[in-house]
Amino acid sequence: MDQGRKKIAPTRGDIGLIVGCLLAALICCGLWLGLRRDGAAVVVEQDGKETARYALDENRTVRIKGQGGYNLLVIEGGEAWLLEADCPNLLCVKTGKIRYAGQSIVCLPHKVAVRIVGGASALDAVTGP
Amino acid sequence: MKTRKLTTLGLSVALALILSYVESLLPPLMAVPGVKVGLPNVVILFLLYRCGWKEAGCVSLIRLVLSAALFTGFVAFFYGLAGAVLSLLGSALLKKSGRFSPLGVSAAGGVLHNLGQIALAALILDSGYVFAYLPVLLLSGTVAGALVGLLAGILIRRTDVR
Repeated sequence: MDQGRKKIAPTRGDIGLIVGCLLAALICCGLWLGLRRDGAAVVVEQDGKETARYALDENRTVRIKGQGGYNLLVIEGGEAWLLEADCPNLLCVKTGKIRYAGQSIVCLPHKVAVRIVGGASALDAVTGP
Repeated sequence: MKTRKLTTLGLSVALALILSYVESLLPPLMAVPGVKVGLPNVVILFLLYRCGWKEAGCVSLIRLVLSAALFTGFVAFFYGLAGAVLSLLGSALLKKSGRFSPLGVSAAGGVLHNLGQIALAALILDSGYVFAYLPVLLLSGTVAGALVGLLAGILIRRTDVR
């Protein structure tokens, strides 16, 4: 009927394009795995401002008081994670453990962000302060 | 503008908007911002094939404004816009080349959408760290785009709407 009808079956171009995109994802993944560096410190930001900083190699548990609730930060064995929180979606808890410079955990409802800094991150070169 | 076209575009806006709402109800698939299927894009892709890029662009823009006002908010509007502009531009060009079906056009659109958003995030947050999300967003963009493309392909094949 119209030109939309003819070009429906997946073409060779489609397959090439999709394979290309997946390859690009794979390459980026490889770059990330190759360039990432262990972090040195855990920075806690509330409402965009740094409120605390802890060394990543000292085990501790901190209760962060955010806006309208709390997040329980655990630092252990060079990894940091939010063990529990009373925010509605618990995305921050589901984010899991982080250890590499540049990784972060964000709890939007409480305006709390926890990020890993330091180490000689290759990504620092890309970053403006 | 013909009444028929006006009706089609009006219904498209309504459909795309309700799909945004449906998607906002789904639980996040992953703890990475930007990983979602992009259901409204089924409508946009359909329009791209049945009407043209101008019509698809208009409906996409109106949908973005309305969904930002109703569900997602001011900041999300700009992220959505960055993604939508890049994605529509790329999709329209690929479609014009005639070498791709809706499947490929949409997969590329999904990837471009995520690239647009991540570029804007890097600008706004003034940080290169967001590119750590690149692998996952490239992958999710491809898969989500392909899904949308399959759905839109079925609609384009089986309906007579113009």
